[in-house]
Amino acid sequence: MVKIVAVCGAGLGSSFACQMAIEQAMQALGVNAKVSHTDTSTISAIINDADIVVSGKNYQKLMEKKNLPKPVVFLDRLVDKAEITEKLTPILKEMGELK
Amino acid sequence: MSDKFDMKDMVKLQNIQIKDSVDTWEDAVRVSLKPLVDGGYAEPRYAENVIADIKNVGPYVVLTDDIALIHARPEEGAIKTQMGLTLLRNPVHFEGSDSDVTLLFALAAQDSTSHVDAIRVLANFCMDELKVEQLKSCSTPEEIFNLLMAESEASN
Repeated sequence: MVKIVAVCGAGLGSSFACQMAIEQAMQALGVNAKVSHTDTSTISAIINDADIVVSGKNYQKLMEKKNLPKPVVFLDRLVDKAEITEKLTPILKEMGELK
Repeated sequence: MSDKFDMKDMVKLQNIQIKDSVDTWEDAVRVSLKPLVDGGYAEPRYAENVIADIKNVGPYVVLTDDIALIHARPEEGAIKTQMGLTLLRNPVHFEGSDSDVTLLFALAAQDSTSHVDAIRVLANFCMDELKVEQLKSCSTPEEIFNLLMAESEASN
């Protein structure tokens, strides 16, 4: 099982909508995923419990400064299943979660 | 989904509006939140805080090509959980984003949990192009309201 965390500034609106899109994308791919959401100030504290981090492109600079020890994906559109699928597929393949 | 969730409690008809256009994205934020401010669900400073947050961190409110979720943290001036929706006939561009937004969902969340069911309905809308087109082609707030309620029933 792969643990994916969606991250936005407030950790309640955008990231939750993103979580739902990730869940649907993973379901379509047949990947067993546990998806959650949080805010940009909490992510460092819970990073050990995440395999992949997903956030909006507008948070890229802020997130990169955190030097998170896990792959981080930045989306142009947080609720776009096609973009999520496209950007997560190579990572999932590398992790062996997807053939 | 909780048993108690009722979309009618979350989105009132008077929170739904159709506007021809707005001058700037800042106006879009203020206009979309006005029904929530008028209804006592958010303080006037909430809109200014959303604008300041967007200037600080970028257009985090833009969810897809058409849709923005205008919101900030509860402590930034939200009073009571409520959503609104503004349909713009002419899209507005949010600086730093690739999207031209026509549907502005406004959210005031009193805490981090009370609005999750409404977000679920919203996210389902965002992911369905057909439904987005349906929303965009509505000609009255009542039509929009009925579409939202129907979607909520369907996902319940």
